[in-house]
Amino acid sequence: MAGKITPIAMPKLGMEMTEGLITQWNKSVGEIIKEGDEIADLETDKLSMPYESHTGGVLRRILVEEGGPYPVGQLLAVMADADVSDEDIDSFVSDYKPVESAPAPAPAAAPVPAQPAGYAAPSSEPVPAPKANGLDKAAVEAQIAGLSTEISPIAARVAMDEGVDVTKASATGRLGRISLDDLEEAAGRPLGRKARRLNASPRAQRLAKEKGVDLSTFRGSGPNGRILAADVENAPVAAPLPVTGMSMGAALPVQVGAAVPRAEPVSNMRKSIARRLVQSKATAPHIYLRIEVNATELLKVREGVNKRLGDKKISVNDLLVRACGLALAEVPAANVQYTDDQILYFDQADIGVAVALPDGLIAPIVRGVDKKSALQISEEVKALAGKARGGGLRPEDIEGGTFTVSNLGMFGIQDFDAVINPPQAAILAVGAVEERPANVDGLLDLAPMMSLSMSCDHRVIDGAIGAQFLAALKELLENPVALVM
Amino acid sequence: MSVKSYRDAINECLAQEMERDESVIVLGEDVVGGSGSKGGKEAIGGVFSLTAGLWGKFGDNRVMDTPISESAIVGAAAGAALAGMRPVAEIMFTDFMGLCLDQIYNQAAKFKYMFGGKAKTPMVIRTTHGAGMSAAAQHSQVNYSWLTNIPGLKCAVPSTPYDAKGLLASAIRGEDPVVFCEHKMLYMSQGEVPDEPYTVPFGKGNLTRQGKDVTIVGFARMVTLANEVADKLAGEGITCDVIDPRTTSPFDEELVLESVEETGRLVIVDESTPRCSMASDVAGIVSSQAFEFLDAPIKMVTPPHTPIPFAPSLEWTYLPSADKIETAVRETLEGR
Repeated sequence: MAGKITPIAMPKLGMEMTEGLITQWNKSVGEIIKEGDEIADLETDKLSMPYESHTGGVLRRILVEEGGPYPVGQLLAVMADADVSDEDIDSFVSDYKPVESAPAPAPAAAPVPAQPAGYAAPSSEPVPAPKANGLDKAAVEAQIAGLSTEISPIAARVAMDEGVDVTKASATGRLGRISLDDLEEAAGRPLGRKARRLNASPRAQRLAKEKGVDLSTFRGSGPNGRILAADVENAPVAAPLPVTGMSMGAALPVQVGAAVPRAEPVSNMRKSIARRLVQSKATAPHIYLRIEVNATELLKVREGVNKRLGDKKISVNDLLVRACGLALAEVPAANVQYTDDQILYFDQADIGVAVALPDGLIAPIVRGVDKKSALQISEEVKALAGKARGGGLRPEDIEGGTFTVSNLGMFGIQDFDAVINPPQAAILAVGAVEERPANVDGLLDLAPMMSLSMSCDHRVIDGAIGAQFLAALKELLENPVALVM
Repeated sequence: MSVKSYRDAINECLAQEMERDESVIVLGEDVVGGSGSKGGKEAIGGVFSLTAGLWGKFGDNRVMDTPISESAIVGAAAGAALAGMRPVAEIMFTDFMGLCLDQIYNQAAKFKYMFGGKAKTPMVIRTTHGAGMSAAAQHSQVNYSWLTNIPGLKCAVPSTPYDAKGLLASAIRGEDPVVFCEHKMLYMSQGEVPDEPYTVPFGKGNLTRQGKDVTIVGFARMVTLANEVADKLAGEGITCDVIDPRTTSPFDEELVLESVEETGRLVIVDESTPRCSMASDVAGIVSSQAFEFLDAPIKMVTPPHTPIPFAPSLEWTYLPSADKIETAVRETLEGR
């Protein structure tokens, strides 16, 4: 049986990944690669990680320089057994076609096996004999006969089966014998069954059988790369993907195992977010009311105000917060909190402004929005956001309130629904201002439109109250003079 | 090289080692072998004729009948060893080991350690073990498992005439106390044995059959059963590595681990009762050190945890058999 050729291609390390950089080649051509060796360091726009070899062999070609970016699937290097000829490698490279959109099992890519790896081959199947040193059985037998040290009978058998040069092995085994470990050390690769068997716990194997999952392309998260039950538990039943351009023969299906997660402790902020959101969804029945606002006048007013303000600027969001404050003053039935035995009515609008942070989000509260100018609101929001990012918020900056504005417009989100921030009773989800077909003075035209979605705690805000609030808000945003008065 | 019985191989070894080294002496109950028998002093040479002919060659000073006191036999041997002799004591049945256990495990096995390595105790306790002769619960046991548990003591369990001679020579020439367990059912077994003296090292297992599917580890007479099963199964394409560890202490765990790495399946055949036995010891070694190579649960073929029955039908039911080993091998291959 001819040796095995393994392509090393740019892996797909995430759903969005389309290309990656090679920051460094850690191995050079001619080096013996063992399973788990880090052949190269890769980097994407999100992360950097080593490319770990899924199998053993000799690094025969490096096809690209350090740097890049190289598209996902591009052939970067070729690994093969030592007995594969240069011509075979050249034709493998020229015939190679990238495997498109093949998601790689995290964290490392699974190279396409040139021959299917299965469970431990039962003896009735032919045992693959790599014969890396090209020695035949008789030659190894002669070597063994001439050894000055003893060799374990198992090591002797494996050496003969696989044509391993035993004269290079040291003898550190029991009673000065050459052990199987010594032989592997000399060969520079796993030998015998170790090289061809799947390292999976019995429980993982049983689970895989039950689920019909092929473990042969898994990378285990256990000791020595052992595939554990947990690795299999969430594995999708892999769909075969077409692989073309293999010089070894017919296309073989690639099967992809479960992603192996990177575990990190949950931060206090994340715990708090999780707890509060679960509390909200579990206790406050959400209803969602949507409305579209024509932002033509809002943008004009903002532009005018900003011209007069000079180096200070107010944002669409600042105006939105102000508008929400005024709308809450107009519809006080929406400016409430629900408690188990009381409904709390507020006579000023304390509004939270959601701020995205690297590890979560937080909504510091601007007090009495209905009584403050857009400029003052703008400055307070900036100060609170700064404190939020710098970690300087005090408890009173985030407690209470009746309403929150969450704006994902700057990320291009058209519209979305938000989860109410307890103990508040409503939240406004704000999408991007974008040119959309609209009724402009009775004609269909493009206008800067903005989608708003209000989530209401139905225990205390009925649809009609929410609708009144949204109508008032729409009126304020489309006729925004009041916002800057 | 000629074909000899296990008994004759041991007898030959004793004679050759006594020839080779004057400090080698033999002591035990009826080792001179004539008291009360027709034909005078060496007509029989002990109850199993293991020491036949030695008294005639080496005389009273080197071949000594002792009183029926196991403690005295082993105590005298340990003292002689400390004083520079190389005694070979005989405990007629390993079942009597309890009578001299203090001399073995508190004295002989401890001297080297407790005297800072300055004391040597080069002594051999030859004994017979094993069931199959309707000798009942007090004359049929094996106890190499609990002897193996004693640090400072070595333990040999030869399964062939060749190993019996070579291991006994190693035991006599070594510097540590050794219990040398001779299986009663093997005494008449035959095998090629070189005429000249040679040694087989302790701690070096013997791969008696080569295969790919299952590793069978057997001790003492169980090796012959394991070989039988391996030969039978080879006929239908199931091949086995059969390992005879030869000595339980030291133990060639490397050979067992390497073989299991290659086969992924293990059956252990041990004539000991199953609890805290060599079988459970080897199972522990393999499951802790080669877990990832196992494709099936380890199988142990042992007697039940009972005294050995006297009735022959029950005794043979009690003992591991080729059938039981074959069943275990097939069970490890289930679902393959």
